[in-house]
Formats: sequence, structure tokens, C-alpha cells
Amino acid sequence: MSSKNTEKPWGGRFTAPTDKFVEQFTESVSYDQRLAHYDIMGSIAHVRMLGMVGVISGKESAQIIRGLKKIEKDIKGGAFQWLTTLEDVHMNIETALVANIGDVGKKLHTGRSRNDQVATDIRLYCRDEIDLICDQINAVLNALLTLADDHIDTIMPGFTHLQSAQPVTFGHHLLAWAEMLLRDRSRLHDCRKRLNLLPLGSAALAGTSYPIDRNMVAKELALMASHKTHWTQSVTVILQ
Amino acid sequence: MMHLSRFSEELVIWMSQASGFIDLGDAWCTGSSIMPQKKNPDIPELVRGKTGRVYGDLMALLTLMKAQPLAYNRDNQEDKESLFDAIDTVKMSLIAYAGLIPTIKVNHETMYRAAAAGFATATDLADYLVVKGLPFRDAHEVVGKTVQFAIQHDKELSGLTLPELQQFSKVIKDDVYTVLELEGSVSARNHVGGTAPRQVKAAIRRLRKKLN
Repeated sequence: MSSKNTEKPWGGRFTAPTDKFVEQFTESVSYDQRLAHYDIMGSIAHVRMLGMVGVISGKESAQIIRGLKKIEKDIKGGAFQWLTTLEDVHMNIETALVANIGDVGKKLHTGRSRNDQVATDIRLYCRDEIDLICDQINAVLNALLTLADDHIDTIMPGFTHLQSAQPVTFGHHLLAWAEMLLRDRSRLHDCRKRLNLLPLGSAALAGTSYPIDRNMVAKELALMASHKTHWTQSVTVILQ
Repeated sequence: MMHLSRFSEELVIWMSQASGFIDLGDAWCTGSSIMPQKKNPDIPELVRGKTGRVYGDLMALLTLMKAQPLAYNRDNQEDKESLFDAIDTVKMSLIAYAGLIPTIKVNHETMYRAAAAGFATATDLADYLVVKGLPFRDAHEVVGKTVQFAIQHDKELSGLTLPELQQFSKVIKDDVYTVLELEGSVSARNHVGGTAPRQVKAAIRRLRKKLN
């Protein structure tokens, strides 16, 4: 395969195989495999663009896309074998791709880094989760409004300092909760706008010398093109 | 999560024997291993507890980021589990609430009695006096004394006779009783966002439109 001293995809400059403990300590695939769908989605958009701009041939691009789709199918069907020795979701998928389609698979990682790759994965994942959570908030709101409608005449004490303050109705009280949840939903919508940006293309940190077309990738992923930004900020927004 | 947690706190209090405002469906509560009579509001309690867990995730992420120079650092790998945990927990909590809310049964009488017991229409009486020409500060003082009298005689405001009320202000007439009744008080706040049933109905309609 190669003359390098380890079987790691980045093993070229290493003279000793990775210590077993270090492999265990640094692996993330046991939990980041949850991002596989988004990782493949990003890879397909990336490699299609590489083919369009001529960094790789159209044929190679199509071959890699087919290979990635097959891997996605294997993952969904439970046939995919995740290996902690391959560190993370990205290297597991890339290694399987090379094993399945041969050396052309090694061209997938042209012009990108795991840094911009994972940032893209997370944004795509959070975008979907925000949409799901907003739907769930709507379900809770629907239940609240139905209950409130049944109790527009149900008198209860309103409290301040947990002391009886003024009479209200149970329906009125419930609407306060509905409005709070609506504000939360609005925060998530704002967060979605801020995270709907494409980090892919910034590579490790400084961009890449290949003639890549970031807008093309952004269009496929329905993201706005952008320079690399720190996505963890949007994580904190979600947690509000 | 903070909002769900506050909501949880209210449900737990309302379901306590001391309050007795609501009951939650049997399918959404659990019992005690030792006390046979118990029916506990575990779902809101757990959501309140899980809020602490999500705050923990947030703190983990904020602390993770606080000393990182640009650009990528391997520290960032540690963000995944907190993020996933927070998202999973928020989703589970929302599912719980969507299921729990329709099972809420209201004890109308207990709620009404509690509203009638705490001089909750005192502000309405003060507003009544203002309409009759008193400055609000004077009205506040009059009603404060009236409440004190009612406490001493173990009565509610609406249970005081007209002469009893009039010893604190001559402007009080027998039309005061509609103001002192809970229904009158609730209906009187008849503006956008107010407690009047027609306003609440309109607010529900407005909010429903935002669901889509």
C-alpha cells in the first residue's frame, strides 16, 4: 500500500504506530458516527464540485459519489463496521470508500480538512435538529392553546411572591407559557439563520489553492456561502 | 429548558395536596414503592431536573471555548457529547410535555376558592375608588385599612356589608359588589392581553396563527 510506518491515513510522517491508549483516548467515532449522514451529504456536494471545476475528472467524481451513497446505505442498514482505530466518523467513511472503490477514493479529501468538514457536519445536523425541535414546540403549543381554550372562564388566583395577587383565569395563565415557548422558537429560528453558513472550503484554516467553487457547494447543501466561522457559538445559542 | 422547568415547578405545586388545583393523568404519573396512596408528578419533576443537565452541557461548552486560540484545536472534539445530550434531552422533554398537557384536569372549585380567599380583588376596589374620584394613593390607603378590618373580622372583601365598607370611604355604593366579585374583576381587564374571557379567546386565535 505505502511505505509509511502506520496504517493511519495521516501516517506519512510517523515512524511508530499509534499507542493503543492514545487511540482510545483520542477516538470520537463512538459518538460522532451520529453525524454520518451529514458527513456524506457534505462529501457528495464537495466532490461533485471538485468534478465540475476540474480538480478531479467528472468520471472520478461520479465514482466517488456512487461509493459514498453505497456507504450511506450500509450505515443505514447496520452493515457498516465502525472502527475506533480510525478515530472518527470522517476517517471511517473515507477509509471504507477507498476499500470499496479503490485509489480513486483517496481523491475525496482534496481541498478540504477535517476541520471545515466537521464544522459543516455540525451545522447541517443542528439545522435539522432545530427544525425538529420547532415542530415539537408547535405540538406543545397546540396542546397548551387547546387547554387554554377550555379554561377561559376558569378563575384561579394569580400570584406574585407566591402570594395571592389578583384573580386571573387558568386560560390566561397558560397563554403566558405559550408566549414563552414562542419566544424560544423564535430564538431557534434566529439561531438557524446564523448557523446556515458553509464552512467547507476554508480547509484547515486558510482556504485552499485549488480553484474550488464554494457557492456551488453551498447551493447543493442549501447553505449560504461563508468564510470559516466558529460554529460552537451557535451551539451555545441552541442551548438557550 | 428554563421555561419548561418553571412550568414544571408550577405543575408540581398545583398538584400538591396543599394546592390541589390540578390532577395529572394516571398514565403520566408514577407511584411510590412504600406509600400506597402516592401519585407523584414525576414527569414535570424530571423535566425540572433535566434542565440542570442541559445547563451543565451549556457550561461544558462555554468552558471548553473560553481559552481557545484560533483556529481549530482538538479540544473541540469534546463538544459533541454535550451538544448531542442537550439536543436529545430538549427533544425528550418536549415530547413529554406534548403528552402531559392534555391530561391536565383542573379542580375548578379549589382554584375558585383559593382566588376568593386572598383579597385578590383589593386592587379592583382601589380602582373603583379612583373612578369615584379618589387619587390612587388615597384609594390604596383606604383599601389597605379595609383589608385589615376584613382580616380582623374573618371576612372576605365581598362579604363585608355596605355600612362596613362605607366607614372607610363614603363614595362606596352598592355597585361595589360587582367589582369585588371574581368574575367582575376578571372581566374588567378587557384590553389586549387582559384576563377578560373574550380577550383570552382573541389571544388564543392570534397565537394559533403563529403555529404554522
